[in-house]
This record gives sequence, C-alpha cells and structure tokens, in this order.
Amino acid sequence: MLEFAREHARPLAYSFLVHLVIVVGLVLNVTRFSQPAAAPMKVVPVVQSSVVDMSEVNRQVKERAIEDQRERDRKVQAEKEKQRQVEQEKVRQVEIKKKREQEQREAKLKADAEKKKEAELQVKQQAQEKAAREKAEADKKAEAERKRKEEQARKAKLEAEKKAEEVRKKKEAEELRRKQLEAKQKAEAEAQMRETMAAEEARNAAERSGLLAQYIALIGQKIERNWIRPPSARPGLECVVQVTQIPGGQVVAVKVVRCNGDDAVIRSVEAAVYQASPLPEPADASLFERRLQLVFKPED
Amino acid sequence: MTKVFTSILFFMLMSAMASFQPAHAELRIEITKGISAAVPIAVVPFGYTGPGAAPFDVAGVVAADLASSGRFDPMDRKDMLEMPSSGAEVDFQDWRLLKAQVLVIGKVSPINADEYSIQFQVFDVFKREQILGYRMPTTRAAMRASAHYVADMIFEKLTGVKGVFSTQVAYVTVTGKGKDRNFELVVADADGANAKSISNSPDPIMSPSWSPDGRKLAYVSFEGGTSAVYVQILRSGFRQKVSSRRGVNGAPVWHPDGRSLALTLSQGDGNLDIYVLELTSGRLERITSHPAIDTEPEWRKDGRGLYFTSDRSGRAQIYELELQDKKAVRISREGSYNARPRLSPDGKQLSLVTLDRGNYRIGIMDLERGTLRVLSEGKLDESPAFAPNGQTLIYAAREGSQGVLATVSADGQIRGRIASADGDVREPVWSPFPPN
Repeated sequence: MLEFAREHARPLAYSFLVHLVIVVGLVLNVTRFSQPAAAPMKVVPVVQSSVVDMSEVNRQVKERAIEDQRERDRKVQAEKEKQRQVEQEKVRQVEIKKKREQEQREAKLKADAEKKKEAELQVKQQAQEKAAREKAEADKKAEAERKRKEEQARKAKLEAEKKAEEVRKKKEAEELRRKQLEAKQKAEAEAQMRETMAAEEARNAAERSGLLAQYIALIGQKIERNWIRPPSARPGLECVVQVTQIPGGQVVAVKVVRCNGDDAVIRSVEAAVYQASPLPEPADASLFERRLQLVFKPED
Repeated sequence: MTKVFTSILFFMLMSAMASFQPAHAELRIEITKGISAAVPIAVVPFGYTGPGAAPFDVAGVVAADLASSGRFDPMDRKDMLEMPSSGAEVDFQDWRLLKAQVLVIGKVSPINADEYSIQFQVFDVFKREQILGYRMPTTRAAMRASAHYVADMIFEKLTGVKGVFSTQVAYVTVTGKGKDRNFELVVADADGANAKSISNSPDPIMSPSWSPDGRKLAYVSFEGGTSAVYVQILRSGFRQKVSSRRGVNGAPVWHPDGRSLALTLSQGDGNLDIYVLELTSGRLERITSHPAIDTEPEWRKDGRGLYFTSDRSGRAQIYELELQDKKAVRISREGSYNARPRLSPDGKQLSLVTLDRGNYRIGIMDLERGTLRVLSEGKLDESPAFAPNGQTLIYAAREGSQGVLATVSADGQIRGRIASADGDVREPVWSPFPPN
C-alpha cells in the first residue's frame, strides 16, 4: 500500500486536491441554501367611518361593498399575483440559483475533469516516460548482456580450443606412454617367460638330479618327527591336509581337506604341521612350493 | 577400441602365464609315521574365587593324571609366564612361545560351606580356539575325584580314547618278614592315591580279579594255611568263600556276565586243571583234564571260550579252548615261555609274561595275527593287566627285592610308575570303567 502511494505520489496528490475542491464547493452551496427566504408582506384592510345615505348608502354601501369586494378581490388578486410573482421570483431565483449552481458544478466538473484528464495525461505521460526510460535501460542492459555473452562465448570457445589442444596433447602423450608401457610389459613378460622357462629348466634339472625328492623327503621327515600320533590314528586312516608356506618355510595356513579320523587325529595332524614350521627349504630355490598337500597315512 | 581389447587380451594372457608359473601341481607328501611322544600341555593352576587359599589343587591332579598317561607332558608351573583363570586373560602367543600345544585353565568357586563349583576350559594354542569347557559341582571330599573326572574329559577329547583316571587298581602288598609278614589286598585310585586295604592276612593273598561291574573282587587267600577263593563286595566289605576245595584253589577270573568264575583247582589228585564255578548255584564244571599243569584261565570276550597257561608242550604256553567241545589249541608261537594271559578290552590282544632273552617281560600278542611284541624292559616283570581303555598295561616290576607298580602303553612307547605304599607290590589289576 505504502509502496503504491509512494510510487504514485503525484497523481494522488492531484486527485486529493480535486476532491478537496469539490467537497469545499458543496459545503459552501449548502450554507447558502440554508439561509431563510425573505418574509411575505402583510396586507391589513382599513375600515372607513363616514356615514352615507342608506340607499345611497346602501347602494353606496353595496357599491362600496362590491367595490370593496372588487378592491378586495383585486387586492387579493394583486396580492395573489404578487404572491405568485414572489413565488415565481423565488422559483426563478431558485432556478437561477440552481442553474448557477449547476453551471458552477458543471464548470467545476469540467475543471475537475480537465484537471483529472490533465493529471491522467500527466500520469500517462509519466508512465510513458518511465516506460521509455525503462525500455531504454532494458535495451541497454540487454545490449550489455548480449555483449557479455558474446564475450563469454568467445572466451569459452577459446578455452575449449585450448582444452581440446591439451587433451589432444595429453592423449598423444598417454598413447606414447602406453605404447612404451606395452612395449616394456611385453619385454618384461618375455623376460619373465624366459625366466620361467629358465626356472622350469632349472627345476627340471633339479628334479632330475633328485633334489625335489630330497626336498619332499625333508619336509615329510620333519612332519613325521612332529606328528604325535594319537592312539586313534590307526592303519586305514587317511588325512589330506593342505598346507600353505611362505619362502623361509613358515607355515601360514593348515587346512584339513578330508580325514577319516576323529577330532583327536585331526588336531594331531594340524599340530604336527604347525609344530614342524618352519619347514625345510629346498636345496634349489626353484623347487620351493607355496602349497603342499600332505597325506597322513600311518602304515602300522 | 580394438586396441583396448588387444591390450586387455595381452594383459590377461600375461597374467595367466604369470599365475601358471608357480603352479607345478602342488607337492604331495605322504606321512606314514608319527611319533609316540607326549603332547606339550600347560595346565595352569586353577583360580580360587573364595577367601583364603584354594581347598584343593585341582590342576595339580589333572596335570599329574595327564602326565601319567605318558601322552601328555605338562609344563612346569615355574615356566609359566602368566596364570590365567579365564579365557579373556589368555595370551596364545605366550603359550605358543612356551611350546605348549594345549592350554588348560580353570577356577574353583565356593558355593557354600562344603560345596564348590569347578570350571575349566581347554584351548588349542595353534588355532587359538576352545576345544572343551565345562562347569561341575563338587564337594571338598569329592574334589580329587572331580579332578580325575576333569582329566578324563580332557584326555578323551584330546586322544579320542576314554581316560582311566577315575578308575581304580587293586594289588597285593607284602610287608614285614617272618612272623611279622603281612599280606594286604589294596584298592587305590588309578594314580595310586587313596590306597585302602580291604583284606589282610599273615598268609598269602593272591590273584585279585575285578567283577565286570567293578563292585566286587574275587581273590585267593591262604588264611589258616589252606587256599580258598573269596568274593568280596567292595562297598560293604562283605565277603564270601566260594571255593575251598582240597588242594589248590586259585586264579579266579570273572566271566563277562559276572555270574561265574573260571578258576584253577587241584581237587586232591594234585593235577591243576581249569574249572568253571557258577556262583549262585555253586555248580562246578571241569574244563580241562590234562596231566600237565593248566592254570591262569582268562575268558574270551564272547564268554564261550577260555585262554589259559599250560605246560603240556613242555614249557608254559598259551592255549585257547572252546567251552563247547573243550578242545584246547596252543596259540602262542613265539618264545619259549608265555604265561598269564589277560585279554584287552577290545578282545583282540592278550597281554602275557614272556621270556625274552633270559628276562621275564610283558608282551602283547595279537590274536588275529599271532604276533608277539615285547613291551617292558625289566628282568622279572609279572602280572600284566590292561587298563579299561586298552591303552595302558599295569604290571609288577622288580626293583631290587621289591615289586613296584609299573605301566606301559599298549604300543610300548610310554612307560610309567604308579606311586604305591611301601612294601613288595604284586599282581596289580585295573578296574573296569565305573558303571554310568
């Protein structure tokens, strides 16, 4: 509300003024109407005291009476006329007054209308001006925005181009690196394969020379020395145990895969392996095995 | 894209090759032998939650029992780094370093004036897990028996064989000389504790034999100068003379059904033969009638045959006889002297006394294969008898002029001694398992 009032201060002020004038005018008119009209004149008949011949007198009286009557009538008539005239005048006055007032009102209304029109015009003009101003401003802004966007687009484009360039370069570098890596891995793999083959060769040689059998025997003996056979471990027993060792012979896992012995037997074979850790190392490192399968199979 | 695939393929191939490398089919190693050594075990002194000192050293008895089996080697208490009494206090790494494979902890809690609760736990030190855990009520007087029971449970869990620590042994002791000589029939806990004399006499007492239910003992007594066979009820002490015939009344042994005895009688003519005596009716049946000495009968597991010692071949050997046709067949083939057969609980072996290079030693004969294995190493070892779990044999060994109680595992690997009262100890026999 206040916002509205502030924004339209001027037109409001005009409107207020116009209304004030109207109200003042109306109040003045009412004051004038309320003044009492002029009092009508009082006609009092006068009686004459001269004596006259009766007949004559009578006649006279008659005549006089008639005359009087006539006079009275006339007077009444006159009075009436006067009254009528007064009335008329009054009416006329009123009419005039009314007319004047009407005129005044009309003038006023006209003035008001004109004022209003003028005010409206002014408001309109102002609005137009404002709109024009705003439009100009908006145009200015739009122009700025457009320019900014253009600038931005230009920059973005530039950036994108730069980036694309970078990506391209990076890709090229990566490609190069990948190629190098591939080459390296290939070389390594080949080397490893050669190594594997060499190890295999060495291993085969070691196996041929009986070192593997010796390694197996060493492990077997150490576990046998540590297997405290419970009484329930009788011939016919067969326990398959998977052992995982790490270089150095340390046992890291013992898993009984299957066993037809009782709890005591299972515990005893597990304990035997743990107790035998670290297991003997092979004479030839190529013979080392991470995983061993032990088969506990007592013969007597 | 193709390039990516190619490289992926390449990597897969490479890694596959790499993983193939160490996989020369895992090594297979056969273990055909083990050792008969004692398992290192730590039996930590049990905690006591009551005021003052613990009323009984439960762990001490458990450790001694396990040690006596020869299958366990309890750690010395002074070598223990800590003495936990609850699982939360156990540091397996420490026990591993101390080379214990099994750890036993526990505690005794008083319930009221005479009642206690024993709680114990057994751990696998390698695998760091509990193997066994129990709580049991007991009394001050039953504390030792409870400790034996704990040892039995641990033994059975760890070896797969029932423990015999709650069983008893009967044996004869001889003390004094000349006029002061005194024979006593003694019943003791398997560890030698709680030894009680159930019969005594200045004349010899011999050949005790447990009834199959473990409630009675049959034995020979020479009270008054002549031999007689008696049956005595252990709990009440009531005894009955079941055979006092002319001549020798000896070597009684219970039939598996507990209703009759096999025994050796000379019946006046002086010829020792095997008889069967039905206990309720007193009916006597002659089983052997050989001019040679037939003695030391032992029932076959099925109760329809007997083993006995006879010198009918010239020297003592073991014979097997069918009750139906009373035909005897020599079954001991190795060695010049084999006597006093006693059957293993599984009925597959006989323990006996055998002459081994000039020494009388304890041997085991495999009934199926007829093979004989010498177990003991003494000069004059006698009276072998199996423990009810078949794992151990008890026998009398000479130490100087004294007989002592010795044990040997059925595989001959583990030897032990049972502490006993003073005197010359003879003819030990192991009780059957107590009835459940």
